[in-house]
Amino acid sequence: MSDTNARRLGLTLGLFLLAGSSVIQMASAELPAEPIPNVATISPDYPESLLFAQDTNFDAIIAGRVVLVDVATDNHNYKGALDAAQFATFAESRRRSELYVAETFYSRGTRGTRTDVLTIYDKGSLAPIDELVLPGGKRGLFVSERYAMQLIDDDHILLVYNFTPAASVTLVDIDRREILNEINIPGCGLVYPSGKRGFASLCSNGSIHAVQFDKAGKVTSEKKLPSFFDVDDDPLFDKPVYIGGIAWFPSFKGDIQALDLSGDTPQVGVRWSLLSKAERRQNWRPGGWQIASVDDAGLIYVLMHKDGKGGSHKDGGEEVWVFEHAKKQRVQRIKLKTWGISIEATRGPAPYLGVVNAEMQLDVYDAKSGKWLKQIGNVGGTPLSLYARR
Amino acid sequence: MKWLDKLTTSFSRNLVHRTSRRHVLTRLGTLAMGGAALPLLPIARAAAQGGYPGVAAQSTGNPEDPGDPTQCEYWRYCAIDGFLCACCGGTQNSCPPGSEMSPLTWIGTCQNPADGKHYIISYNDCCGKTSCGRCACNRNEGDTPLYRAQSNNDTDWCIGTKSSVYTCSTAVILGVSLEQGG
Repeated sequence: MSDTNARRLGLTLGLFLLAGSSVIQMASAELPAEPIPNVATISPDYPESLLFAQDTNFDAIIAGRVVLVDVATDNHNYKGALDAAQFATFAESRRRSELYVAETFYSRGTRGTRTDVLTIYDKGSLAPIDELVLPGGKRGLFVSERYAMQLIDDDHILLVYNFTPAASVTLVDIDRREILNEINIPGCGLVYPSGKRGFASLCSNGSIHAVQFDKAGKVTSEKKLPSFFDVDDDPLFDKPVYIGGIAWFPSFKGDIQALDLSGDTPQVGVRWSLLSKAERRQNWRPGGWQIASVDDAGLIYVLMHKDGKGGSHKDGGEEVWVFEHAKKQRVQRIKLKTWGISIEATRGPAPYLGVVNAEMQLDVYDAKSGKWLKQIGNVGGTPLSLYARR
Repeated sequence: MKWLDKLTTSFSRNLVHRTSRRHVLTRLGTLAMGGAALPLLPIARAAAQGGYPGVAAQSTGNPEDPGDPTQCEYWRYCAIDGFLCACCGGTQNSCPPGSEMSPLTWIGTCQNPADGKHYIISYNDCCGKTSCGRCACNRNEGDTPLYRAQSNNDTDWCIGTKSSVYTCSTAVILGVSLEQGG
């Protein structure tokens, strides 16, 4: 090709490309300018498929958080987060559009003056809208534990468990943002909602401390019930699931114990084994952090591991077993894709099963079929507790 | 402290070392992994070989107190849960400089392989600086739920200190356990 021809070809190609780009430009509108600032909100009417994942954040415990995760959507699973400092506790209100975090701060970060505070978040903005200082610097500090803070009395009263190591419970009137009372529970721990307006705590010898009070927080009955299990031989996990007013406590060695907390006085219920004889010989045991969950159909999910032994109760597990308590039968056995540490079923007729796995990632299963659906990564450094909607 | 923590971590290490199951491992540096389905990650291999990546071995210097205080398998750590202070500027029985040892704690009983005796071990937390983050170890022999606090390792035992902020964990010998054959 001569130089002249080459130039002509180049010119022709150039005009063609220029014309083409003009066509493209004419066909597409320019992107509009976008507003600044611009902060997303979420609908306060959270879906049934939402889980709250509490990240204790072991590598910087003073900066924990609670992440809202919608496990059902194809994207935007991470909906937002709340700060939850220093071994915080978390609860969602059913009645008010609020979320509660009890947390602990120091005036100089890790040092200085301690302030325990109940921070109240709005469900739509996820911004703090109010707070109540919890006096005395006595809030108990533990790895995320749902039974260290509970709403009762149609969510009018919030119970906060204290440990100094003297054990007590602070009663907070949520509507008036007032502290009503503090009830000592020596030798006992945690708060399990019980009766019309009260709680039961388990005690170090396997007994129960049960308290009822009036709307003003004044104690109306207080009972110490005898030991009903052997803490030395086969402790009950401190994380039961509730079905109606009955709390079901798995035990370290694989039993499940019912405790009827619907009335003012707890009633010890049935106890049965989660294991067949063959499974017992193989030392299948519950284990992990959040070892059990329940769905709206009343099915109980328990995280299980084989070859269990003394000290394996936090190891997690390779399977989730699903039980129908009325029949005392296992109805499903879910083999996990990755070793699990904590589990939680979502609300609704077609629940998902969230599993925090040993790599601290959130696996999502279809709870009915047991099929693994997806993994939602990096919802936190150590998101050990999952909370379904209430 | 004691949190279950990195749980995996420790168990991981425990499983790896003591039962030869490979459940753990992780991005924390130790964590558990789900059985044979997962590849053995580098960190797991390190754990399987004993020791945390980048942490040099130590010795107490006393043959009657055998083992490596920077390893989760060190005999005193049978009910520990937290970051090992030996990896954080302290030792198995001392806190890192500038932190404060909690006077309150939980208690475990561990067997010393050198003399076969069971010792009462006090797992005092070190407090007042942010989480050390090294050598996370969680072992739960004798650990009980939160309602029996004195033997629970999920509690932040930075109680009675100026700050409740958890830094790392020690394992201090209190004496021989008379009950278990000292």
